[in-house]
Amino acid sequence: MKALDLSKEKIATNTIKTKTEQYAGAQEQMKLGKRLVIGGFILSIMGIIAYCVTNFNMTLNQKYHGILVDNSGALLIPTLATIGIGTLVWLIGSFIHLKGAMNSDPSKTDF
Amino acid sequence: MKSLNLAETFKNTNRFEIASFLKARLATMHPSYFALSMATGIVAIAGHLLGLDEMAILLTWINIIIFPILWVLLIARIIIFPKNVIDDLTNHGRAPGFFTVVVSTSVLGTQVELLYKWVAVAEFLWWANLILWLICTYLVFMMLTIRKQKPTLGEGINGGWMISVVATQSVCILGCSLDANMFGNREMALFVLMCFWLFGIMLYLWISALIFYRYMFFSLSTGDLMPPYWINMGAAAITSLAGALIAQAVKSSLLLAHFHSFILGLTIFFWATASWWIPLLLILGVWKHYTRRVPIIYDPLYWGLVFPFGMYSRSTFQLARALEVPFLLGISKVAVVAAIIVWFVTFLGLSGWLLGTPFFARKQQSSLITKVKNKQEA
Repeated sequence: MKALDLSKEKIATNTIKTKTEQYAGAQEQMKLGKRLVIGGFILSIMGIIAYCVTNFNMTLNQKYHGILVDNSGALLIPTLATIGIGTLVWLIGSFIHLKGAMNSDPSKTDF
Repeated sequence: MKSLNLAETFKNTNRFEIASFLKARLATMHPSYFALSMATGIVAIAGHLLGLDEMAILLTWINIIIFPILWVLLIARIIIFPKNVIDDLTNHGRAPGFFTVVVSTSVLGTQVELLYKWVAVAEFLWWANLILWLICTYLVFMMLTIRKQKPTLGEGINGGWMISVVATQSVCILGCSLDANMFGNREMALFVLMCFWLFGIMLYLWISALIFYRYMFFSLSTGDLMPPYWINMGAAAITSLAGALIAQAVKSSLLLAHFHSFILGLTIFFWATASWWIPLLLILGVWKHYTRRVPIIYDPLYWGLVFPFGMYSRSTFQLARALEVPFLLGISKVAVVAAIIVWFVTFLGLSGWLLGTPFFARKQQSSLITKVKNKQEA
């Protein structure tokens, strides 16, 4: 009987420890998710500004027959890629945060 | 303990709970949700005019997908929750939101005509735009007029009322984009479009006076400054845009050519009015979010903030063309960059709201995630 009680206690302690570890892991996931969301957001905004400036320079370049800014057209794809990558990073961060939120302590708010 | 797998989570969630969640969202869906389509469309158009073709094409296709989805949701709401729709029609705060249906139809028509030369589709959308304008204008204003208990001016009026002006001007704008070829008689069509432009001006003058009076003589809380207050600027900008397009169109009209100077004068008047609003609205935004520390949390009404930026860019571009003054193009370019950024931020807010992510999302967990977590714990 005593051996059974002891093993029940052990299971309860292990369950509590595992829960604590799980919640701590979830918090870490949420922190990582937040960082990726902010990083992705900033990268996307920079990409949008760079894309617009590149396009306006290209138009200006065409207007002045190519004497103003050289090869601004080469930056078009990289700027679009920056926007795409930033959005992807944001999305990945969102899902990581969501996963962490679902594993986190239900008695606490996630924000 | 296994960590939750998202796919398994939703598999284990009761389908009834998901259906209830979606139904609740549909029941309370704001009538101005078409502002999402409006905003996406106008930013695409402004981008296209300024050479940002890749962005314009992407946003156009997003709008082509969003527009029918919004219609499905609207029709579903009318069928499943007719009482909620009627309540919205008699609510001074929410009723003007129905005009976003009119504007989004016109914006989509202009997009497809400008980018892909789908003239037949644009013409169909113009007629749909006209019919929707007739229904919305006379239904909304009638319902608000005959309502027994009415709110005070301070409670009832807000920037959203200006969407009625935007809707009226949108009929004129799409018509001008089609070069007034809808009736087979260009002179008659131009006269009708000019009348719509003047209807819009009349509405703008009435409503802006009330809004200005409300801002200056009634107490204004941060809650009163909802994102649609930017439509004060958007309505003036679209009036300027319609004027610039009409001014260019009447040059070749035997009937209306002598109105050209009058139209141009009023066009500049409204562009100047729109420009006047911008610093005040920015200052009020700083007061709300920085001084009063109101957090920026996603709300569907934020799409009403995106639209004016795109519209200001387009109207400045068109005014520069009408007046043949290239120095205004710089302002148009700055406005379009701001419009794209604000569109993008709001789009992330919408996505974040759907996913429950930390930024631009609601501060409380969505009820669905809470239920799932509690179920797992049990």
